[in-house]
Amino acid sequence: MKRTGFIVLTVMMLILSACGGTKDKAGGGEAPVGEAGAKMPLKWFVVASADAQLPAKDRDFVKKTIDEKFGVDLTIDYMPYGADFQNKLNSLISSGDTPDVFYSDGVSSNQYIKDGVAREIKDLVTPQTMPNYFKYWVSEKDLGMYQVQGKFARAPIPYAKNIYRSYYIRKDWLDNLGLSMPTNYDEMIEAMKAFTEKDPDGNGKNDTYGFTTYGGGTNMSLDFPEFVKHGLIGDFIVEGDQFIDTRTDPRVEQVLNDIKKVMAMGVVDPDWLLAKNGQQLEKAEQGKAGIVLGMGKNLAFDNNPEGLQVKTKQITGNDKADWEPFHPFADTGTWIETVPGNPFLLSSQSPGDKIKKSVEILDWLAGEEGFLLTHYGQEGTHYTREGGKIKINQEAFKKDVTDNGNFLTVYQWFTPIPSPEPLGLEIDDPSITERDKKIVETIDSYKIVPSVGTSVVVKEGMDLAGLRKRMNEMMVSIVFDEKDASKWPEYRKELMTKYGGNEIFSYYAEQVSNASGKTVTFAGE
Amino acid sequence: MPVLFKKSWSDRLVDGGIYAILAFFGLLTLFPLYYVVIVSFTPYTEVLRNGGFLLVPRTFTLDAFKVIFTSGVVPRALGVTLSVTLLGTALNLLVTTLLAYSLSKKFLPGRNVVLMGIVFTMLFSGGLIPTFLTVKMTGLMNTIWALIIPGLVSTFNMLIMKTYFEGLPQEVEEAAKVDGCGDVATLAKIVLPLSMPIMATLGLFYGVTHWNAYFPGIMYLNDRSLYPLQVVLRNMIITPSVSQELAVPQTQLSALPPESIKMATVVVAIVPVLVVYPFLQKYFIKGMLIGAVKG
Amino acid sequence: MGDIAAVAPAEQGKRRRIRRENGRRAFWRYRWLYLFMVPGILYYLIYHYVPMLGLVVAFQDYNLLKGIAGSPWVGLDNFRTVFSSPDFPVLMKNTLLLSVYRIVFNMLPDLVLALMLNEIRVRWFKKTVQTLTYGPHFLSWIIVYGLVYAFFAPGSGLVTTFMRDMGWTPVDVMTNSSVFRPMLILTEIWKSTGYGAIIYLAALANINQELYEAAAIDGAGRWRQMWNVTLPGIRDVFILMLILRLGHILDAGFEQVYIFLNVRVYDVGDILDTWIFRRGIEQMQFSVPAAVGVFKSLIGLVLVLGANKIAKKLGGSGIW
Repeated sequence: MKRTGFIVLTVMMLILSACGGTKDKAGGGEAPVGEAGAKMPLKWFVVASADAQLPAKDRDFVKKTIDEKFGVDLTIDYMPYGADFQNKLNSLISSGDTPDVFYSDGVSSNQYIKDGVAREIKDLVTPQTMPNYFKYWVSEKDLGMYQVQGKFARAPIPYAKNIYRSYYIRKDWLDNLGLSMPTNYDEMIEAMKAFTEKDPDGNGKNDTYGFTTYGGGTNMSLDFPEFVKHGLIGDFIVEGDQFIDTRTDPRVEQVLNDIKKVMAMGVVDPDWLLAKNGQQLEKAEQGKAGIVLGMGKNLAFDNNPEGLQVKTKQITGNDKADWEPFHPFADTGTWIETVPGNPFLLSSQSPGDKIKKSVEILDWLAGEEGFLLTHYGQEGTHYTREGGKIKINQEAFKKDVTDNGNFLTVYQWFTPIPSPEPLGLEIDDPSITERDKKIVETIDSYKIVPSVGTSVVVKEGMDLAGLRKRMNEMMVSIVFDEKDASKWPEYRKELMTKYGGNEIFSYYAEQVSNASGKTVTFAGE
Repeated sequence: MPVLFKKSWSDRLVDGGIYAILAFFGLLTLFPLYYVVIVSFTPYTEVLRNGGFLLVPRTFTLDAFKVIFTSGVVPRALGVTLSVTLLGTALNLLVTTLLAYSLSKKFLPGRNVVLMGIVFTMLFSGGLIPTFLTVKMTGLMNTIWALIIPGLVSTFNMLIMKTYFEGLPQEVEEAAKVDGCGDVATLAKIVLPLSMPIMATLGLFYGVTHWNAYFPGIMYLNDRSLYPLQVVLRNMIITPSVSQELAVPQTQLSALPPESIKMATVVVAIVPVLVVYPFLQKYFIKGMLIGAVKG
Repeated sequence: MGDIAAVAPAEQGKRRRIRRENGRRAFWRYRWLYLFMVPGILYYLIYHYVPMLGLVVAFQDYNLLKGIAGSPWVGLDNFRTVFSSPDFPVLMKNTLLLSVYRIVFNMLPDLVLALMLNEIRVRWFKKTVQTLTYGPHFLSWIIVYGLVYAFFAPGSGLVTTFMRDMGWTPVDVMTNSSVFRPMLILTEIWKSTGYGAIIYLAALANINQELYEAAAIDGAGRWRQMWNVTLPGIRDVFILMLILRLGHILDAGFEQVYIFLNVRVYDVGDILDTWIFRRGIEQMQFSVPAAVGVFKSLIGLVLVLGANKIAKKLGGSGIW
């Protein structure tokens, strides 16, 4: 018996070594550069949704197009964004294998720039070298404000300017109770009360709440309208010549007092603090709450299978469920401008020609041809185009893309934009209804407040995480365990002094001043 | 097992108590497994309808499992993990046994130094990036060996085996030596057969580690056809982030139930492990037959 | 136990002298034993000692591009960063308390379960219970959290709703500071006892049946047999497990704590590792976690050495 076991082992070892060997030669290999007419090998490391999978080379029409058009052999490694992504990227960098192009986030990119991993892009990312990028997505001014540490080494990936952030309310519940759409804060609270106390779904049970949100188990949710009510919109704003960190501002005292009042009324879903992102939408879909904050243009579209409408109808079995957008502060300011998102970085270790080529390809992806190919497939096969309208061939798309590992999402890492509007095109989607269009109109009409215009980072030695953690602890303690928010000024002082808030926010103010040209200061303790 | 000649009333009571406690604990631990299986067979809308928690399913669906097994990647990853588990565990046991056996000999000069050196590695670790660099330097990148070699010996397991060997009565080995057996023969013919419980135990520990391994797969492999099961299964769980909208035409968004798929992946990963264990348990029941050997 | 090892002190001295003289001869005599160790030792040297050079990062301001060779040295600065954080005392206290609880309350159930299973004679019952109890070990903490949440969520948890319907005040398991640590321990017991008992079951299977028979002949009942035969038989394994756990005393179970941790229980649940993790989200870092790692390892080393000595003094065998 031992002998057979031994033989099995040896055979397996041989098989596995053979497998490992051929894989190295066949798949993912790099073509030698020196040959005449040889393709330039490029390596990128990007993000993709967890289910995405690039198919074999012959079925990946995007790769084929890119390789032929630019004379390259593009290898893309991809994984969902998170700690694993970071670890892999850092390992690649330390072992001398920095990808030519890679995706990052604000915090990490700051470190990569500091360590010299990111290449300076002053001459690489310009309106001349990347015309599409600047034409459709990012202005030179935005790009300038995006820089950190006085260097010019990162650029944001194209981002959607409008994130469609709005409260949604169960209109059918309002109708059942004879209420009208809330137009201001007090009416919103009244609606919450009614939803909690008056059994809006008519099932005889007291099982509905006015409002739900998510705290992730870690913080006060900024979904609570009380923040905007007191002028604390978004995370950072400039008021006059003052830099404001909304979450540590003195006005938080009134915000928390108001929230306590609302919670004491029992209108907020008690699970909100522990709920993770996504669970608040689930609660809404289960018919457990009447008001929820949501993002995304098609969140409440009639035919979006992942959206509130369809899901709520499915789960509650109530076909009359109707989520309509509204915002009590639509006229004064609902949120801050969308700031540029995450950056792409270029390796400082790669040869110049590879970088130049990569930049060309990136710009192509940001332009009409590349965008259409990576989002909707091949013209004629997967979609048809009439003037400015794109009509998708559902079966072809499903067969070649969705069922083929949904691989286009890998190429969409650079342009995670849900619709081609910025390019002046639109999708002819027969499933969009008049109601859907009204929703978009409503949200488009909301007033948006300017952002501080630049990303801010901390310096070595500053413990931002410690400050935010203590801040969250304090806020939650006030809301849940203390009589009122009268200790907030004292808490704020502790945050500013003991936890370094003064230094951190003054430094932020400095960065905003430098980027905007206007002097802004921070009033600490 | 203790041997009793007489069972008094209090003994029977204690017996009853033990059975009761074990039954209770067994049910308690059955419960989460039951829940996972139920959810994996239920459409998610049904789960949500019940407030996210379900005990008795009303509708039954194989959709989640269909998604997993028709994906193309899962069967292949299953094969990879199976090979790695079998081969890896065999190698683990081999190297660990050899090492533990020698280290169990207290008279061996240098033993203590080696032991301290090994325990030191359990406490001090260079971290992620240095290990990655070492794996790269030794040419294991993107091969199946990257899933086996970096974890070749688990200090914990090795120490357990060493302790076990130290607990074996010396007379047995001495008898073998007197009969003319060298170290190799003693180990192979005498010690190993007596060590089946520990071999089964550590075989299980190592095997389970290989089966559940996720991290080495994503760090050291670029070729996705070499991906082991856990990596592939985790990738099946679609987690669309709210901020990064999937740029897919609305009608193409598939209404796949995320929670059911999550549970189905758990079921797929757990079932083999649960099924294997009872087969190994027979090794725990056999005691040592010292008497026979002595004779 | 051993033939050569356990000798009277007087002879020991003589034997040691002999051993040193026969250095070369001993090497030849035990050549097979040394050969056996070669693959293992090579493995440790290559895959543990070579990467261990990475520990120096704890004393550097690590630069990803320049690597270990090129990054500047900062001495104990990273350690200072950790120790001077205003949260450090709480972190240490939580880490230590949680670890000690885990050692005490997780080792005993493992052992007790094994002993109970050992008393069972009905084969199928034993096998079933064994298999069932070892199942939860394979469920990730995320799933366990999901179950706890399903039962105890402040608003919609099944138990919470039930208690509310009954008119009682609902028990707050997930966000109450006094309950948090016990809840962590209880869920850990539930999840890992079955798996942890395996090692003791294997050790129990190794006990010589004749010892039991001899004890029974002497009139020993169940408890006497356990005290005289069973427990001594697994004593060495138990001590080994204890020493190993002490070595990891500052690892309070990051994965579990991280998943269950929420802002209302930071004061009792925040441990060193979760603090580091949060820092890593706000600022990418290598040096500070490395410093914490070195700190944890040093403490673990001291405890292991100490525990080993004590174990030997108490008559058992330590690791070496």
